[in-house]
Amino acid sequence: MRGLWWKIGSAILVIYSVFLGLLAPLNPGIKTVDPAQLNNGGTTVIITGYNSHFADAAQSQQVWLTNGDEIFCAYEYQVVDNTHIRATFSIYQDISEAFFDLYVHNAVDGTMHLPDAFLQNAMEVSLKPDKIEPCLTALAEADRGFGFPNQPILNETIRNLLFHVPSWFAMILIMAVSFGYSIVHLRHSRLDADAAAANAARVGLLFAFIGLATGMIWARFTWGAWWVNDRRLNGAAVATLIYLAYFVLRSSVNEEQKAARLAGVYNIFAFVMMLLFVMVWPRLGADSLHPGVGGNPAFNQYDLDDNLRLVFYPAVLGWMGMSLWIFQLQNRMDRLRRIADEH
Amino acid sequence: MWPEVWAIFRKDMKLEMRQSHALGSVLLYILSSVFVAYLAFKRIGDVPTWNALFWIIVLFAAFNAAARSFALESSGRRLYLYTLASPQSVILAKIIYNACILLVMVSFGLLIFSGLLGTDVLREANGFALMGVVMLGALGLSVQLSLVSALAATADQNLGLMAVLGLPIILPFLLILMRLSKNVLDGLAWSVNASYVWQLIAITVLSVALSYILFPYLWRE
Repeated sequence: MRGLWWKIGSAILVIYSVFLGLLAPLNPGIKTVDPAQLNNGGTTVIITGYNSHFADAAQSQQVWLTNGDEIFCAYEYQVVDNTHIRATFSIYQDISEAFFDLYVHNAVDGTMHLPDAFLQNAMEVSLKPDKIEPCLTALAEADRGFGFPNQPILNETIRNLLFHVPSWFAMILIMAVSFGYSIVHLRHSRLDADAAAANAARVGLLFAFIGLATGMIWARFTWGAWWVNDRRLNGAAVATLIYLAYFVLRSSVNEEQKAARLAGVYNIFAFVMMLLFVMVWPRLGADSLHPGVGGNPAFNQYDLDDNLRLVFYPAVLGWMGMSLWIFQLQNRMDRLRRIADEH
Repeated sequence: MWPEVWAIFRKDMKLEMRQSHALGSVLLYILSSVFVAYLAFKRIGDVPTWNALFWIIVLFAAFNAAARSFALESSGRRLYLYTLASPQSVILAKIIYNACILLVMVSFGLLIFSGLLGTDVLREANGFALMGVVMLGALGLSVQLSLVSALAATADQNLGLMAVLGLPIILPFLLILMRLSKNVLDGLAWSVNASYVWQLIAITVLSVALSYILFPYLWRE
């Protein structure tokens, strides 16, 4: 029973994060606006919400725009159904910024915000509404139960955070374990340490592939392509290549002692270079789409709200524990196989 | 230790001089690949293309040159060297030797590359800065490739394994080097490039340290 608690713990954490991560609803938010440009004068637009309750909370519904310090209330609006509002805005020319932020508020959903929702169109429209009254612009959180933040562009894919990021954490951890075993092997010439290093690298490679796959899916839905030329992405790809080369090296030498020593040397060299490539190098450049790199905010700066944190940290811990467990099993299996081969 | 390093380095240099076809073959390799590039492109007026092509040619020539540095040692000679010198001096001597070869090679490469493919892109470049980049590149590549070459030689494999092992490892260095060299060709000021230079020096020093620590384990057979 001893030594089992962390395995049970990490299994529970992973199951918890998978279930909550996939089942918890997304908070209400504004999905799209059509058209995305406002003419000077009056423009009627359709606002499409996601998981929103426009019709259920029609009495408390408020719609307004901000531009710099200025606030523009909807000239008139009509709630179509729970996810659609038809609103007319009247704007004038002398405003400070080109883009308007859109706010929609009601008692059920709280305040929904779409930054840079509308571009100001220079086109003048003759209709000049005469009614410009101040409206209520309440910013409030509604009490609506557990849900993940609804970010523009990210939308539902924000759940991927709970799978993509922990897989890289687990990969770095298990590669560090492999690095440690390689040092032990070189210092004490213990073949079992070398086998452990190889098994750890094998498990690490599995997590690297999971990280790449989840990352590619995420990139497809947020950036529009399966792969973009980006420091962080290329770094991850090269890290994977380095460990594939590690296995090529292992299998290219027949003599067991020699293969182990060569692999140990390469593993130590490769791990340091991989850390440079994955952890240091992407942060040096200013040209990256990936969060946490080159001036882009990482998730923990403002996107990661408390609900997401509640699942994200357990997921990271759980995945790390899981990777160690998989490594342990793989290592034990490998040892048994070698013993069986000897007999 | 330094007299030992110097002696091994002198021995390697003497061998090189005696078999002059060895250095000649590397230079010929550069010459032919530049010629192929010339036939394919005629003239390159575009800085990024010029820069990328130049470093790719240098990279493969460097792999060729470094692969020889350990493969040349027969196992008998290696055993003899093992009884005489400490592994640390062997790897330091090899690094210095490789750096010299690579320096000659890159300078020669730069000369004929700009001769054949056009010097239009060099107009903005500061000559001293360009020489500095070339030296930094030769030094860094030789350090990183020396250890990889030792690995490949110990595995009794040659260029194939070396490319597989070396390319991913050398990429961070190479990408920073190419960016720096492009900046220098564009005539950007030192203030922009300083951070790249420090990164390259840091990676080179780190690689020397790792080679120094790790090589003894390869040497012990």
